[in-house]
Amino acid sequence: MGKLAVALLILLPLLSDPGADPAYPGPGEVEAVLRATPGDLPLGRLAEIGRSRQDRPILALLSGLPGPLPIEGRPRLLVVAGLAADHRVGTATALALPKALARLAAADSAVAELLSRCAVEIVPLVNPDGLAALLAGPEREFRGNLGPRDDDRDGRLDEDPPRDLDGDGFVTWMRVPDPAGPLRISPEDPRLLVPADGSRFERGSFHLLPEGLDSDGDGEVAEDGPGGVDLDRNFPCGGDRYDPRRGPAQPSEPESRALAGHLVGNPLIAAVLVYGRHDNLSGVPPANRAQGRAMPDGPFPDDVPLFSEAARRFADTAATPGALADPPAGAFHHFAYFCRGLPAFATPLFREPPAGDHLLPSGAKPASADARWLAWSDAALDGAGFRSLAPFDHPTLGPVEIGGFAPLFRLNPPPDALPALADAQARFVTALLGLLPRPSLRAVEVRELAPGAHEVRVTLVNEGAFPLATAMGERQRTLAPLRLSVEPAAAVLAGPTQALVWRLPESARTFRFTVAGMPGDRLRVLLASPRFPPLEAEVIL
Amino acid sequence: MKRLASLLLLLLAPATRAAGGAVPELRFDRLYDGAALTEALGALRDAWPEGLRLESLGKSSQGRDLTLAILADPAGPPERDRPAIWIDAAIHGNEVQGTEVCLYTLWYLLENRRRLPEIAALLRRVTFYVLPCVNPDAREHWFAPAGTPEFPRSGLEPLDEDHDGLADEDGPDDLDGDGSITLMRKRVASGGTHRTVRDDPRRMELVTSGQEGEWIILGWEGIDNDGDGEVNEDGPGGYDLNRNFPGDWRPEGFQGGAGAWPLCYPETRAVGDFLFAHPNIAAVQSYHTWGGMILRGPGHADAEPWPEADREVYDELGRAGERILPHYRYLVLAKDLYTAYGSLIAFAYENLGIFAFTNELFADAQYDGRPDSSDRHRFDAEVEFGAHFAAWRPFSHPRYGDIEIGGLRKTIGRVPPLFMLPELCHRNMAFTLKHASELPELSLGPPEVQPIAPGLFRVRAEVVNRRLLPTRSALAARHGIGLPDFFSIEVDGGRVVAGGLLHGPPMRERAEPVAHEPQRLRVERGVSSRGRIRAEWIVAVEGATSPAIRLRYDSQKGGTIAWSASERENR
Ligand SMILES: [Zn+2]
Repeated sequence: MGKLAVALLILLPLLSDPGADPAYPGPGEVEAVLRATPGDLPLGRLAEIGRSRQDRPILALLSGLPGPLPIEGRPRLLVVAGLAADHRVGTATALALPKALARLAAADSAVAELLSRCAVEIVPLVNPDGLAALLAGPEREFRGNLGPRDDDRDGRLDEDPPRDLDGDGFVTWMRVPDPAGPLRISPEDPRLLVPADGSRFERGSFHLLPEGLDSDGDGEVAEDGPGGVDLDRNFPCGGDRYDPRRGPAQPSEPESRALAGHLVGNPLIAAVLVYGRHDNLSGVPPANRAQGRAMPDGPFPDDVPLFSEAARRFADTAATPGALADPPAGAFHHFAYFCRGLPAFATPLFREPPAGDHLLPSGAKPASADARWLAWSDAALDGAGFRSLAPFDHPTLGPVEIGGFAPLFRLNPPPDALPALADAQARFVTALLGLLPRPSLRAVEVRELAPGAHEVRVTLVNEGAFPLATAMGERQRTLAPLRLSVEPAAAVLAGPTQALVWRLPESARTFRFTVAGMPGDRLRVLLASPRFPPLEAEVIL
Repeated sequence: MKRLASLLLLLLAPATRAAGGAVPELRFDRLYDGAALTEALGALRDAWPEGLRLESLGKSSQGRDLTLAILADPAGPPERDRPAIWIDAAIHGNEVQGTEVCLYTLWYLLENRRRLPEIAALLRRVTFYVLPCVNPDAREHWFAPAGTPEFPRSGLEPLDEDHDGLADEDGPDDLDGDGSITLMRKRVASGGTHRTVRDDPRRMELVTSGQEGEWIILGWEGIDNDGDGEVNEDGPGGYDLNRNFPGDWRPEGFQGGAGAWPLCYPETRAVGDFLFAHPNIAAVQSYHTWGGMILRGPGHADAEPWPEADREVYDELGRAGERILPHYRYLVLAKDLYTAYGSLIAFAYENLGIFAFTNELFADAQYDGRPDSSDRHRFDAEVEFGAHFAAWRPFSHPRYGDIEIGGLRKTIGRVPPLFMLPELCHRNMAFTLKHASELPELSLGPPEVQPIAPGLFRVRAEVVNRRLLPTRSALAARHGIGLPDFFSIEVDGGRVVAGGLLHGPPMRERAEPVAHEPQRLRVERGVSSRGRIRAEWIVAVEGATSPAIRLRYDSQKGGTIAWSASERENR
């Protein structure tokens, strides 16, 4: 113990607060940036959508370019990041979006036009408490908020946290010699371990434990650290209800309840994009096969084209290759699509080491994913991605080696990669805005049926690519329909005074109203919905 | 000794009563609206403020208090350290009389807490959390302005059911102003679906094919308030609070009335958050109407099968309920009734490990005691002298023209005849008190201590549960819901060398020593229904001839119980 303290003291000046890196802001900086520049785009509106468990604000910034409609009244894309504390690239990229969009708009008039009639709303940090806790150090994998969670169910909270035993500022892994262990040294590189395959008579000689002690003497190492609930598992729709990381109910946390409330309370949100660990953009999720009232396990077949179109745009603008399945597991974008019927997309932003012919020290080409990360870290980052293994005398386990990938390395790219990521995301975000449904009234025609009676024909056109609502939204009745009506309603001679339009999978549909009036009388045709800006057309009989 | 004690009790009783005030004389052949309920609860609290507290769990959608009664004799352990039962009613606002059952239960427990030793013991051992009205907005709306037997069921947060941009703008209207929403009918020359019954002009019957009817039924009293051509299509609320609980919750497209997310309404959130915060709650009873049913989950057919040990507990209580409640049947929601996702009772059991029932109050067979009969009109005429019938009266309807309004009122159908309400209250309470009396009751006797070697001892101890409910449901143990129980030992001036639970039949039982923390044994499965658990420790105390031992058993749902050589604690 004394030795540990001395080691800590010596290393202390070398510890750098990862929050000090201006590219990767902490909760205070996120708030400062949002408050100081409400929009690098000229229109900005900052709103507090809720507060965290530790009473930090959760902020949303709505931005866009000046246009005919006030920004609050426009259809918007909601971009959410920072659900998991350690997914810092999401927060950094979301925060950089308004500026990147402004740059794109300055260079491209089509983008400027989009941003003058739509809005982008960013919630860059849903989990400020978790990020603050992470930044207090040491660096470790940490997703949760600070909701109390007794991981080992022993009636004591957070009594056996992961610890930085070797004092290098990182919580990595302990390689414990174990003749019955499941892991053996990787043939690709001795720093890596791989599973021993018993069917091929391979012998394991290690097991891995998180860096830590057995502070509560229950035989488990580092099994009950502070926090919390994984907010990106704390939503309804899918997932195992008994998974303790999901919280006692979905949603149970102030952060996730605030985000759910924001989504439900703002019908102008037309689509959702989440930066986090999930991915439904580098491939197309398979269609639902569940029947009846069972929870769907994929998008409804009628909605699959919408997901594949988004994936295609994603590949064009922000390519990250890969295949995937994204069954509902209680993530926020699952809630947005499976419970609310909104087109909802998710990307980790960064999931592979950048392409390059980096070789392992042995001179071999890396084959496994771990080896590729390692080769990239060695060749391009001076080895910063991997904490070298060093012997350590553990109080209960005996001699072990401590080291491994730096906890945030494979999740967050080097800061110099961030500007390009933000620019790519600005392109993808504008591509999504361009796909959003856009109802308009066209071709109002009048025909006299008899003196004093006319037929008014109105054609409703969707100028966007996505239908007015997803099939899921229509099933859920969560996305309000458009109401097409004639005013004054008393003029309508027969039939209903208004028509409800839920989905409009075709690009146009014509509606007929039989109305009373003399030639020259004026009527109005109105299109109303909480989801779209109101439209009206004047009809002269 | 026993006689002396009861004599003392008798002597003391009037004195303590004077200190607390008299238990109010409440009538239970009537219904209590919100104001009357508040007054009655206040009077009960004033009768025993040390034992009965009132607390607001929060506000309803329309700002009414969700008043919870917490009843526990302070002579027992602290209220949160003992097993508890949660009792609620009127989560569906139109299902009114569960509130009276709750009120009756509180009144009866107070009234009899000195007279009946069994009640006195229950109040010392168990905590009662009673929420007489989960949905006060809708229940109040049922009284005034007006309701039907079916309406309003929902909470009263406005909802735009007809998607016209306006919420709650076209509900039923009490057109004739009699406080009840009854039916509208129109006489037609042809195409009628009903005709008046020949020997009872109050009633209509369906015509069979080939016959000519004289009436068409136009639905509940109301007009087209929003002028969209539909009548009564967007009334107050329009969702179902009892489909809004987490666990097996499904969104709207898969479960009508589910709400935007689990616990999104203030009423359900108050209930859910309270249950989360009170792991001592081991039993739940919800009162609904109607049908004479004692219901348990699961709520849908594809739910994970419930463990047999838990089903046996449910079945024993259910069978007791069928004895206590004539004409009631013990049923399984998904199998015998319908599919319901997101109900309170499924949440309580499947997410929190709490044994939970819904009682559907009043069975039609009770009208005349015969299972095949449910003639409300005849019952109303012969037994209640027409109290629940609104005579058909002409009305000039803005849309339908000349119509008639009338028929059975809201006060019959779901609500029992009020002269039968006291019995309904008492018998349902009796079933719920049976459930409460079967909450785990633990005892921990003196351990067996056996010297093994100088300074070394073998200690064996046993915790017994003499009640039907286990301290942990089998489902809770299976999924690690809540905390396990803990069986702990402390030795003065010594240490615990080894320890473990004992398994196997008596005389041949074996210890399963644990590798870590032998002084605090985890008991994941708890103490089973009328079962026991035994543990063994090896303790070392240098130079002692007998060790000074303290034992303690901690259970979230069974309470805490301790034993020590010097003083017998039974906390
Ligand atoms: Zn009900």
